[in-house]
Amino acid sequence: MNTHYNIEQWAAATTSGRHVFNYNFRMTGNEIRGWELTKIATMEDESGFPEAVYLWQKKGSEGRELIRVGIVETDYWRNAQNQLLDRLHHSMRPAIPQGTGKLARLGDVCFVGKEQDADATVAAFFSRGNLSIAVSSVGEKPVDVSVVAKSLDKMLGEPPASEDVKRGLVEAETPSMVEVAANESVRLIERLPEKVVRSGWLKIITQDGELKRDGDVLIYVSAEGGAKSILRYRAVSE
Amino acid sequence: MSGISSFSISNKLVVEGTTEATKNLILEFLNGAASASVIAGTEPQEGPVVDDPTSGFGDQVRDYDIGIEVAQRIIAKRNSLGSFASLTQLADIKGFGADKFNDVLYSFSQLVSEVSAINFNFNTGAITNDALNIRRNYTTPAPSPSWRKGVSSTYADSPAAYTIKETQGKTLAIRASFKANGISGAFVRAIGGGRLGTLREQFVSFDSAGDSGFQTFKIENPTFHSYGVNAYNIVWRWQWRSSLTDPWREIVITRHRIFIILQMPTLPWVQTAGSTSLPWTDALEIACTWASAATDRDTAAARIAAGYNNSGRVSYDTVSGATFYGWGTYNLTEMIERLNGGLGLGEKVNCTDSANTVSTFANLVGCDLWQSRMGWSFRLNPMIAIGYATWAIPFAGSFSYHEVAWKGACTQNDNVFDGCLKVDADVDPTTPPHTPLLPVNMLFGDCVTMNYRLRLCPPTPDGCAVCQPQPATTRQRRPIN
Repeated sequence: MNTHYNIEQWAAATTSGRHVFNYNFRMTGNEIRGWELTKIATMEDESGFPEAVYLWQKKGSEGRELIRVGIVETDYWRNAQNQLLDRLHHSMRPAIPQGTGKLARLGDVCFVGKEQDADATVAAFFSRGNLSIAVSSVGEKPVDVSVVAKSLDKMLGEPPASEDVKRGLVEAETPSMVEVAANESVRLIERLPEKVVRSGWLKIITQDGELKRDGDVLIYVSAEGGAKSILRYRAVSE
Repeated sequence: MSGISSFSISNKLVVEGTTEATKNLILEFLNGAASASVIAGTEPQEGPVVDDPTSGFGDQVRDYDIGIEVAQRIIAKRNSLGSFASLTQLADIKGFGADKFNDVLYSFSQLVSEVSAINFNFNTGAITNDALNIRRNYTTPAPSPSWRKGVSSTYADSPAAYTIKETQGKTLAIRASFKANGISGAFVRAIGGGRLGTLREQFVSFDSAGDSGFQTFKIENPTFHSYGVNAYNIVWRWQWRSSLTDPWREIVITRHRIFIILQMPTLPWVQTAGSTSLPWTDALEIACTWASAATDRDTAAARIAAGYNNSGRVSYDTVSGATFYGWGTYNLTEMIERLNGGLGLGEKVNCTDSANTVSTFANLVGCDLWQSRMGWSFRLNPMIAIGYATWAIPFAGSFSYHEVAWKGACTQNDNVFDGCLKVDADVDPTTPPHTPLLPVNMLFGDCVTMNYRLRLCPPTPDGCAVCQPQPATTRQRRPIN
């Protein structure tokens, strides 16, 4: 089909997302204040990367205000962008615009939908590292999802808040140093843990290069050799 | 008149050699009676307690056995005790004398005591003489056998589905199993059954333990073939008798939910035993309601498209036109929940969601539709999107693609069923006034003659000309979950 989207431009503009990898991220119900996580569903697609769908209902809205958060965990940031492109191709609106203003920096690349004659962002589609994410208002009453999308992006793309570490919600391992040769694959994690339905979320951030999963192995490749810092975080509580 | 004494009851049980099975049946009956009317009755057919024709008073025909007042006293005594633990506790109930106790013993010492199970789908490899293989939904199989004593009570507890085409002119049957006490055989039938029909009387043998095993009963004079797609609540009143000249005695009333569809469902639905894509009764409830009384595929598909469009449960995503219920697989489970008044995955849908819904429900009742797209990036005429009441042109004038439920090869020579939007039915869809028309069973067409294509798109190079069927890359029937 015709496409209005240039995925090579997206890739060229992707920086931090190349070296952020989230494994087994799950929303657990505490992520959106004032909202209740009412449902988790799984959507299969041709790519083999299922989408975890989280349906949030604003407390007291009796189903009129709903936010659907769809997260596809892929094995590689490029595949997350492929999945994002696929999602856009399954939208009937031609050329969904890229995020601007406060949403210009959402994800590695992001596209947003706004209510006609209103400034509210009711849909945000973006990728961050190996994840493709869609946040949409799907209730009768439109809801601005930009705050939720930004908060989710921060949660997935950055080191956790020190407060969360202090509270014991996240375990931050002491940054490890790995000696790498330029353009040589390093097996950063030999065996990723079994996926679990809730919690068990692992986030790895490297200072450069890119991260990719091959089966159970997490691989790191940097264009520049030398000692590299690896940040590793593990959610230990819901 | 005072009641029978405890001594007389004990003595009678010994003299008659009453078995423990008989005693237990009587206790089970009396303790399980919800009201006095369950116990009371008048021959020859009404009431479970019948007059022993060999003893007692009366003419033995439409005689008086246990009347409502005595039955009320029995219930009152039972309630005062909590429940009857022994037949001797029937002593000293006013009006319940030796004759009536004898009638009770007579009634329960030789009888067909229960319908144990009913199986509508006894041949999982064929659908011509019995019901389809079905399941409740993605996660839950249908009960097998469909009805079981002590398990099934509501209509929905005992579902079955039949096709019209494959069973037309064929002998339909069900299988049922029974328990009896003190007899080696009996004639059994079931009356009622509505448009599914009655069950022809036949002789059933019982082994020494009183079990019949599954016996085949022919369904007599089913009439559902004439009424198209439907969902019925049916009741069967099971009866037995020892000989062809005896009056019928009641066993039990069973309730069943019967779905009637046009013919064998098409993909994504299958008849492979154990598959999660066996027809779901949760989906049949919706499809058979929407397509009610349709006697051909086109009418059924049209009614399903209209039922979906008018459901009031979903509305078009006018911001992105995004797919919410799946493009790899179709999350029918969530759509059903949404259509039934729950949250589902929210109210927003697009054309892919709509094509999935229309084709999947239509194919469930035997239609033969596909999901297929037209494209790409074409200008639009004004339309009324699902869930809206006003004419508009979405997305500043164009769709990147559109997807519908489509017949045949999904080419311009094939008809579409579009549940997602209404087009203008008049001679010029590009300008007001507009006449809303849900495009069902409408030829896709070309850019010359007024059909679906020209009602959807203006006759321009960036409209109709680029709104072309894309079956080679998009024609499919998405799997369901």
